[in-house]
Amino acid sequence: MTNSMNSVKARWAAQMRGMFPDARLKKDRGTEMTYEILPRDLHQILAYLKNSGWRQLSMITGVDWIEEGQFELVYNLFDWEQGLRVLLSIRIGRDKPQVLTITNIYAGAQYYEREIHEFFGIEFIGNEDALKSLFLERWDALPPLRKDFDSRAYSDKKYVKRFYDPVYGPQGGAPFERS
Amino acid sequence: MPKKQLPSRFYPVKHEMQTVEAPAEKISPQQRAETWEKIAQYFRANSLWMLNYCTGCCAIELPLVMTSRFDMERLGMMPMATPRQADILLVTGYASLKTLRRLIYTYEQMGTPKYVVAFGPCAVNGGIYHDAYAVLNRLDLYLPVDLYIAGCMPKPEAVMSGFMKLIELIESGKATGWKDYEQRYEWYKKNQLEAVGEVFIHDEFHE
Ligand code: SF4
Repeated sequence: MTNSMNSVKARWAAQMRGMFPDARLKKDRGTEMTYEILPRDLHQILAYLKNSGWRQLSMITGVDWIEEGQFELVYNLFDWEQGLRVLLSIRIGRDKPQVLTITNIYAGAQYYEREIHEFFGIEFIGNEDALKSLFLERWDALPPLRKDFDSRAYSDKKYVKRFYDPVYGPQGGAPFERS
Repeated sequence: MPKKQLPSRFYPVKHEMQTVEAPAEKISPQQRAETWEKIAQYFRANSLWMLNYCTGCCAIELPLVMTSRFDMERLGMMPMATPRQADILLVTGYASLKTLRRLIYTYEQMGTPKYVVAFGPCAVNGGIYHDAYAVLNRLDLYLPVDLYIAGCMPKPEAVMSGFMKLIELIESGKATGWKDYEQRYEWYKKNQLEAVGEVFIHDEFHE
């Protein structure tokens, strides 16, 4: 990390503190900063960041904090000029989770929101397309990445299994027969 | 004015019809059909075009098999761009909820004779994904698998030996998955519907 980059970063961090006092710097790993912000500040901060160089939304991820009754959404932005990454994390309640869409700021968020809706059941207000299925067509259970979803039980119930007693060693290997 | 006679080369040559006694049948029609089938099998086995539907991580070994070190073209095998031109469907790994529908579409588009080669334990019983929420454990319930190649993922040597085995099976007429699929179509359809609900695809590209 160069000195000039350091100063750019320091200047930017000071600006950020002044504009959004609620944003809390949680971790600073040199080229990667993690902020905890309030859901209501999200759009302002994203718009501000997009104008100051973070033009790429690398991804959005979800985390299920089941004991705290919260979902965490992490927005991962990257600035190609400075090589700086910013992670913005928001927390929302776990029952009837809703956030406003960010597709009006980063159009590429479309597929991330669709995926998060599918895997966590989080609703993105203002993004109708996020309701369409992406990977799990005709899904009929809880969103599978929630911690209270039992993958094994679902698989056992839904899919036909194959059981057999393996024979090890050179004599092993039963001839294949079509079932 | 008298008609001018054209030179004789402008007239079709007339041949006397000759009847030749057909030789007495030495082989029965059934034997003849079998012989033709054998000839067809010989040619099928020596020119295989494959469609690698890369469902899972096993596909990572295919570039090695295709390129100069192992060079599967010496077996007469070539990668092919579309299902309608392909003879073999390589299912490289697990079939998931999303991919099974597309696999069935692909398989049914291929012209007969067609063969399915499944890679890795994922296609046999789910492999390390046997308890995942979207992985169908047994491929042979939905598509007629002709050959399994063992290994997670199978090494290029294993893939090559699997292909050689497949050629052997085709040449000896034992790779009959496509006939099985035609005969027991209802059974396969029933399994497919049980697993994925509906085989039709509704997404941006198929609507
Ligand atoms: S068998 Fe192994 S390498 Fe192949 S798809 Fe399954 S996990 Fe991946």
